[in-house]
Amino acid sequence: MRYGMVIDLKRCIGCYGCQIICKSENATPPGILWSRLLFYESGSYPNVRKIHLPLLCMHCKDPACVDTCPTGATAKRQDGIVTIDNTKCMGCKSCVIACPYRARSFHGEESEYFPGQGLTPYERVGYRKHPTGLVEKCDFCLSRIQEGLEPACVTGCMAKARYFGDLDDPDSEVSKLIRDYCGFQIYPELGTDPSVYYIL
Amino acid sequence: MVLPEIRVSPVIQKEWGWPLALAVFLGGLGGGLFLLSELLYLHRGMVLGIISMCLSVVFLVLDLGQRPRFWRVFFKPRTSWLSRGAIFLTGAVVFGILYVAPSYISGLPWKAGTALEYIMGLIAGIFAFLVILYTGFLLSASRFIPIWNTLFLPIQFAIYAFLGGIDAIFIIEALGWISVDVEIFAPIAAALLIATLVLLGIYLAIMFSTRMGAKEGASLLMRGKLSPLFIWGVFVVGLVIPIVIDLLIIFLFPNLATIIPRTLLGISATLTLIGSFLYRFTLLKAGVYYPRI
Repeated sequence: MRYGMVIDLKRCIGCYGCQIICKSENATPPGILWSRLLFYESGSYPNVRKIHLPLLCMHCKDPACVDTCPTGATAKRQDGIVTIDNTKCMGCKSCVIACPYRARSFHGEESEYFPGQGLTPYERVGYRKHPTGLVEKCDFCLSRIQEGLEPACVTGCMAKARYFGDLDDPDSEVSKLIRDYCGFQIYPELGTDPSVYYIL
Repeated sequence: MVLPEIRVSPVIQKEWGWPLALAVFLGGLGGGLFLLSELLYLHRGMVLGIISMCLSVVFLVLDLGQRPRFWRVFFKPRTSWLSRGAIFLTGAVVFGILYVAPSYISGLPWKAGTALEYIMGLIAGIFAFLVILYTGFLLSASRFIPIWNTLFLPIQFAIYAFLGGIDAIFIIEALGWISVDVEIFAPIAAALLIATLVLLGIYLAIMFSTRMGAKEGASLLMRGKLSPLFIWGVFVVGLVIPIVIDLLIIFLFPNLATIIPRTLLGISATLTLIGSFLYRFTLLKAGVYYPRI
């Protein structure tokens, strides 16, 4: 069992919906994005393309962050999801330095979305999951998976560009997509074997 | 199928800053000073080395987001350099204290000159040497920051650590805290300074000619916003001026026991230590990630 995701870049319209729904689902504090969108231009004049690349934790098969974590707070589960144990992390930030996909954020101090107006009721409840002084990242919406649901960014993508499933199951939708549409990982040469694939 | 080349601005690490630079600097300095003082049997030098390593631990802890959980750092020495470093620092400090304790506290089960004291000294020395090595490997183990991910770093950090040890001995000798024949060390310090200058030049030349990330990091050091600190602080103040002073002392003062050369050596040593810290600090700040993402 290895959970993974496939993102269809032809379907992705760069609407930031994944970023917003991730914030809504996980109540991430200001400045912290578990799911983000990278925009860049490719090619040279007159053949220029604008690329939007959705990024999240790649839940690598050989994650660099797990090895570098001195406390054992970062660990890879049997189902391939890389998690951070909030009770073990001491906020040394070495995993942030080690991650090649910039998927981790250090939550230094509590800040509010509406400066000077205090935390909203939503923030007060949501921030219980985000203690300060720790590193955090996407966990493929683990609590939703445990309830039999898909990650929020998958269900919330209005272009239906995201697919989630078991990469080890050859009959799963994600495995078929990777096989049929030549799915690729970004920067596979880094040797971490990401569980997030893209199709073009 | 591959993605078109990602073209975004360089991403510089912001997670590690001056507390870690100080921790790495003080760890190397403490390790070098302890090891040299142990070889020369300079008790005050060893004590200062231990204090420096203790301060290194303090700054490592200060850099944590959850300081009360610092004890968890010892759990993963198999794969984590931070974990290894914490164990080396603790070992060097604990066995260092046990080694020097009989000189200051009477009635301990082990006495100065006994086999037990010798063994403790040996273990403390090994740990101090490992502290010197870990400071470089902590950064060079970062695979995705190419300017750090090179064997040059542990070598340079080790040279800086021994240089720091010699410099600290010069300073405390100039202050009159210890009595040591500095004539042996002046040429060694000059040679290490020149070796550092040459290595740093080779390192930067290689970084400029290699992968993305390393080149941008080196550009930040030599042409970017870090260049005043790096060129003036590390190169001029920390290397060139001390080399000139050390060579002048060696060639102009055959007798180093007089006040002028000793004071000059103290000044040169202080400048080198400033440069040594700035080297760590600027290098941390020049950590550009590869890939850019």
